[in-house]
Amino acid sequence: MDQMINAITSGQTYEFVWNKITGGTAYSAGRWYDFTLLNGTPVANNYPGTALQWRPCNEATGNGTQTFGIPHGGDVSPLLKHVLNMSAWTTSSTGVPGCLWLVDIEGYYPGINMNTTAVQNLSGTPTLRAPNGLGVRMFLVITATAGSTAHNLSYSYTNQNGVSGRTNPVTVACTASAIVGHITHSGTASNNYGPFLPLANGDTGIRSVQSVQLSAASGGGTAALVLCVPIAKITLSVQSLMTEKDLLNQIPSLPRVRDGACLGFLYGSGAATAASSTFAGTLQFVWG
Amino acid sequence: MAIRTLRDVYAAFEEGRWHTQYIYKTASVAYTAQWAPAHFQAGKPLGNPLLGDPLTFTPCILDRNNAIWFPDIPEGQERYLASVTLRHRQSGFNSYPSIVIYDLLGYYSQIDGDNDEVQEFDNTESLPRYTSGEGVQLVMINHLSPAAAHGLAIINYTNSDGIDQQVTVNVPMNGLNLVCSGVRTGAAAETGPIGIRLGPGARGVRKVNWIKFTTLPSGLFAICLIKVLATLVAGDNNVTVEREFYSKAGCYMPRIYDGAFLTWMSRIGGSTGRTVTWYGDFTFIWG
Repeated sequence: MDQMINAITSGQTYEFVWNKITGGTAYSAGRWYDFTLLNGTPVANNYPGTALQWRPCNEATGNGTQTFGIPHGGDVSPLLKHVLNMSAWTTSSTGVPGCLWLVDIEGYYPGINMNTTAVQNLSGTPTLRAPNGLGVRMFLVITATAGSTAHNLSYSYTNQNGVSGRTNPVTVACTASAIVGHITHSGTASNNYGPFLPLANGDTGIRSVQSVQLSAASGGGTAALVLCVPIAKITLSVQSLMTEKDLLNQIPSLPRVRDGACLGFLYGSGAATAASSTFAGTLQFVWG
Repeated sequence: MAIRTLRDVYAAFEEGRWHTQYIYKTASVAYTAQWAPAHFQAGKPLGNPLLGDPLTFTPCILDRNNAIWFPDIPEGQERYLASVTLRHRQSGFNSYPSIVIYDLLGYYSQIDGDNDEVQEFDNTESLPRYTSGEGVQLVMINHLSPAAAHGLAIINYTNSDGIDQQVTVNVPMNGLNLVCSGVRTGAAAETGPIGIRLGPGARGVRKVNWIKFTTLPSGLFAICLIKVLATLVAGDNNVTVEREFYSKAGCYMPRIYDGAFLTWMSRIGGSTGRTVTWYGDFTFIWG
């Protein structure tokens, strides 16, 4: 407690007030969406880059084109930075119940073609903030609306121990006609998993991904395969009412935020969230 | 003497280095699902309708009872907000209020919602606190004369890195004395954000350079520059919410700089507009 008060009163803190507004299409209940693609503060991310080639993300420059990460006060090493408090609210009656999951977006493979059954080999060697990729998860988010043909996803990756050739342990179904921002394998349909793709037996992280393949050409669309580290969650229960989370006293976890972390929220919709719904909140960080 | 441990916090109380300031705010305008700044309401501290020379940055500095008062402290010491209690009375209970406590750094008054020309701001005065603008929010408020329509505006500001940026944001018709900070690029209702959407890489606002309405909302507006300090959620009507910052909320005691112009805004849900009266106190410690 003394160390915490010392850090706070010594100015080793940072606070950011964020806001996001959903796009012109309503969300579906039970699915997950990537809020970094939305307008607001910080600016929207559209996962640009050379197709299938790894692109890293960080706090200072985002994806290299859009500085989309929620600022958290810059690098502090050798000190350790943590999320201290979170608050969030939504204006929308259909934004509740909902869950916001703060993640550190390590980087992504852009331009995955959702209209081919060919193996799509991914290139580039990620340098991850999470040592050896421990704790890293991945999700496939739509960046241009997918076609209407049903399709499953398979993938091959290297796990936290450096073992390559690891594959999805179960059938993973994507969503036909998934909209931009939808984590396409999340939802309530059979074989949906979300927000993160299931890992092979015993795996606890990802160092890199080698390939993805669809079982059917969906008819159109592109996606980005994103590697991230989950950090903290906050739920939304009542329209207009702020939810607060104290990560020191209430949920004593003090999630770590690494130097350069590119922070953003994933949103799990508990209701069919109306188009143009506003979400906003605050994040407080401390280091010492 | 600095407050660096829990023992220092207790010592501040034991040694009299504390002050509790009671507040009372008479009924607000009726609102629901919008952010309502309490400084518009009469009471103690005094109401502040954001008057000043039009389009000129007016810094806000505590002077007796114009904001939540706290005593001067010896040079070299630091002041913190140790705790807050707030209770509210809605004219008919809608829902629990969400509350944001902030330092009102200053404002640009009487922006003309019927003027489609560029309205340049006078920045002879600068931010009195948080002078780089890091973490400072740009908040649009409809004041003095009500808007008649949703508006759309281009706002040019200097961010906390000293870079001029420009955003196009809607200015929703949320009502008089209520926040109308837009995020979208089209004129439409929007009630959630406290500050407007900022440009790429912006971590705050140092000053605002000009505004140009491309869709006229009519009415008059103020742009406030604020630094959010804390959040809390109140309970049922007349139930007091108590927040000890040094032992709750991650021990995150907001630093209160000399001259800080403390106030809060609140948001209640529901379908019927309610007036809200506030009672409570703010306790400060220093060392």
